[in-house]
Amino acid sequence: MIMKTWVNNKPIWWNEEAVGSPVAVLTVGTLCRNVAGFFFPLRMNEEEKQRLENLLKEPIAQLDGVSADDYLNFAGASPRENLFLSERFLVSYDLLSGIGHRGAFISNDQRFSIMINAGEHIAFRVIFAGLQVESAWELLNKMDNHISKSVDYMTDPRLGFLTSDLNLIGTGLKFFTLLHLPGLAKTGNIVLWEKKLQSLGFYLSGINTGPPPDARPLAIQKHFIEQGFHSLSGSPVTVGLIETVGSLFAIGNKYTLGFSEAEIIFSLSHTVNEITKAELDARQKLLSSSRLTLEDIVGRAEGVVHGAKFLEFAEAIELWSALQLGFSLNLTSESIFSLPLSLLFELQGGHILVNFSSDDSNTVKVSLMRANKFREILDNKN
Amino acid sequence: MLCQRCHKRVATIRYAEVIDGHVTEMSLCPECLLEVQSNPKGFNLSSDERQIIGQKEIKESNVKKAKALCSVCGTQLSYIQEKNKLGCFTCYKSFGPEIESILEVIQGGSSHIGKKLNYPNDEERVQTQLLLDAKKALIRQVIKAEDYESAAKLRDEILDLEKLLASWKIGKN
Repeated sequence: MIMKTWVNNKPIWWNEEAVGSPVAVLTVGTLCRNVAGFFFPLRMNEEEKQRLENLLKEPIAQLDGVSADDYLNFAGASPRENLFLSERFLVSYDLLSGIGHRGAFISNDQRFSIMINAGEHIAFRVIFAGLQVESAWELLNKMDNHISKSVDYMTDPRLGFLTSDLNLIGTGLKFFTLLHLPGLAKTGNIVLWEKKLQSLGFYLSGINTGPPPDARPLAIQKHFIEQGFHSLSGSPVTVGLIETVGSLFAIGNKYTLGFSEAEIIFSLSHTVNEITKAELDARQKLLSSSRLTLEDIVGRAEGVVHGAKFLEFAEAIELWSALQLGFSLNLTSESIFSLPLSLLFELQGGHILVNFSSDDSNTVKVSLMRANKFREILDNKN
Repeated sequence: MLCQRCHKRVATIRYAEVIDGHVTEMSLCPECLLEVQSNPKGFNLSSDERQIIGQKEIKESNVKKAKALCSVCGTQLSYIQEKNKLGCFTCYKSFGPEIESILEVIQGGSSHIGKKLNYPNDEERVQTQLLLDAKKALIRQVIKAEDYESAAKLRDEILDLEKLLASWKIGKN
């Protein structure tokens, strides 16, 4: 019942304009905390996991935007129904494929979620369209302050917030911004940014489709899992820049120890602004040097979307990328001016799968529906 | 005590020598010590040989160390070193230096400089958490051994410790 609401209700950030940067698709922030007096989930038994779950449910349900009914218990839930939540970044794939007592509160507007017993006891997750790192931190901090009044966090005077994963110790804060950088990718200048960002304590990585490596398998046909951005739903999996799909890249903070939240927020915003300028410059240079080639890429993409009967996910993302570039440089002949953010999500396997009953789905039908969805958007029928 | 070598002067030094893998200990006077040291029965190693043996010893000691388990949750150090993931609060204390080495590689600093919650009784909190971890590990064992009387007692102690932890809220003393 709840699931149906989440499927039908569009996340609030789908309707937000690309705030902050025209090349930033969205910003995802995750804040991890652990409760003193409990083992980490890695070593908790089921009784302890359930005790912790019960301890956390009450204070979390008091937060604005969620109620006790908004808790989705993953123990015994059907992963097939929940796959789309990982595709929307509302829960991590690890939580979906985990074992035992675990779950997530998901706010009505799907702006935030709070995962319990994933890799850490608590993981606050917020999602904003475009580049809104400060807003994201503001909401994370507010939720954190509220919960810290009710439960005792595991801390250390020198190391800060203690976590099971040593990559999160200190602030427990990880941000990433998803960027669309076809200009820098096509000119090859993207590699220069990779090194520059490393020295600032950030990573710049390509985007992979499918589950994170070493993830537990789900009781769903592999094909559907491979048709989504699950590797971004937890700690984003870093992928080589040239292996990326649709010229999409993630930029995020590598370190949580030795850097304050304020430094991370400032540096991420500042760096994305710098990359945005470089990307827009690269697009203009490409336009003046290779206009015909760009028109060819965009025109072909239009043709395929209008004519294709079946579309695989990776191909659809490449078409999305070409059309977005075309819209930004006025190279398309379409009646719309940009593609909605929702399309990037609705092309994924789990999002399409929720429209079918379990007996009725197969890979061909999903590819057919994906092609239809894309065509409808371009024909401005939605 | 008389020197065990000359049996004349008073012994002031305890001297140990390793010969063929056996430790021989003697109480010696300073004069005999000088003579023994200038003519040892054992053998001298070249610096290269010493280096090889030293490296081997370090390697063996690291392998042995990697097999070490957290006394409370049983997480092996080699797992932590491979996955960068810990099992409990006590792991941080059990493998302090090894965790510091991992953090040096994967993190951007050695100290937290961000948001802090000012919990009172820092040291006492640490000790209480360590004790709680230990009792939680113990209760698993006694339940496994079907010793329900001890389990009930431990459960009460755990609840008391949890209440104690919860009483140290931020801003209270």
